[in-house]
Amino acid sequence: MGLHIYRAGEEQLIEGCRRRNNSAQRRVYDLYSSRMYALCQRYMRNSADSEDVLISAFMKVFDRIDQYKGEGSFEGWIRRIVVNEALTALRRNRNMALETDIEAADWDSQALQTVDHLHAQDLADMIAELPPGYRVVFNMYAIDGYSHKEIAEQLGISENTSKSQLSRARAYLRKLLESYEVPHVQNGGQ
Amino acid sequence: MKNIPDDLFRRKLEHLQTPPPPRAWEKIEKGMRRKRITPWLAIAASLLLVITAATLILTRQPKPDAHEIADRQLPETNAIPDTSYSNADEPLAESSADTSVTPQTQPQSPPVVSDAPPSEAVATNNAQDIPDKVTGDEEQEDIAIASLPTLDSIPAETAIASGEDNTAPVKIVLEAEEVQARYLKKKKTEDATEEVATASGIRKLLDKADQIQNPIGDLRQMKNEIFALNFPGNKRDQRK
Repeated sequence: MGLHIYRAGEEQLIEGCRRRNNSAQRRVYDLYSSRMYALCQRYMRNSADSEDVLISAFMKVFDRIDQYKGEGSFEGWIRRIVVNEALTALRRNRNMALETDIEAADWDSQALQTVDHLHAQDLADMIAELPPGYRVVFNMYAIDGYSHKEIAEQLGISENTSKSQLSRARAYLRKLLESYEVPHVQNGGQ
Repeated sequence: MKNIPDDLFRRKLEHLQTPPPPRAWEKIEKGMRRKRITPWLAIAASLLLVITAATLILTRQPKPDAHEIADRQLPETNAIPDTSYSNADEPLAESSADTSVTPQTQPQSPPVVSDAPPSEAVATNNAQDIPDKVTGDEEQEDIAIASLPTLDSIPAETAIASGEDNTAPVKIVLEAEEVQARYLKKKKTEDATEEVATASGIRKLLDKADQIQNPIGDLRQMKNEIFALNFPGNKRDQRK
């Protein structure tokens, strides 16, 4: 019932956006901007770039609202636009060193037990530390649900490259998690 | 186990919310407003461009000068059977006979018509004179110059003959006179000087192309005219 009401309200908002109604656009922005801004921050290194991506993405959302045919969730559609905008911005900035190499790190399974309490912001900070190429592939695959095929198409790389970037990103994050946990565990033990 | 970092990060970050700075919405609104205005500006600008271009083209079109009048009348020579050329000499004698008739009607015709026969007579006289002078120079110009007066003179005479009742055809007579007086005598000097002389070859060619009304019939004549105007030497004539 609640979902039905929510859906009806969302459809009204979308219809309002189609009529270029300013208050409907504002409501859509208020509903999704915080989540989309967090998404932008995962892809972009600094908040100024994140803000630019958010602005251009929402302008595209309102501009191309007629292209949303109700297939899939509205939020998913917006999310795709935001990711595309982020990738475009990264490409423009020539900021994607996809071939950055790091030493593979072994995952200490013991550490897994202790990282679950980490705050989302701590994890977001870890992602921000990833080299750009790893960060993008990890974000797309692990969090935003893109397949390797889609990533390869979007970034203009091969699927194998996408897979290797992902495994390296994972290794990098494991290393970061371990280094984060060591002082934490030591503090907890005292 | 292998994907534990993925799961951890997805769970924690998928629905993470970070409020954007308030100025972001203001920028979006501003951008949207600009996007709404831009298409109208583009339409207005393109309309203005079209109007300006049209005005420029229309105002830059040359006034009907000697070449245009001559060239406009030349195609008519093609439409009229060759008898017009054969009549060029003989009917002039007849026309003189006709003109000899017209003075009898002078008292009845309006004053404008009364002026016409002398001027027309001048035209026919010139028509006779000019070909005689030019025949030694160029064949094409002979045809062009000789054909003009005869064509104009023929309707003019008929107009005068029947123009006792109606004065409208007098205009044709005046036009022929104007062409005769203004341009035909000066044709050679005008072509060789000022605008035509200073214009580029392509410009001349384009001007001629603009004047083509009947592509099949006119092209040959245009070509001949262009060569005659631009290469006045005797080489070409000798070849022909």
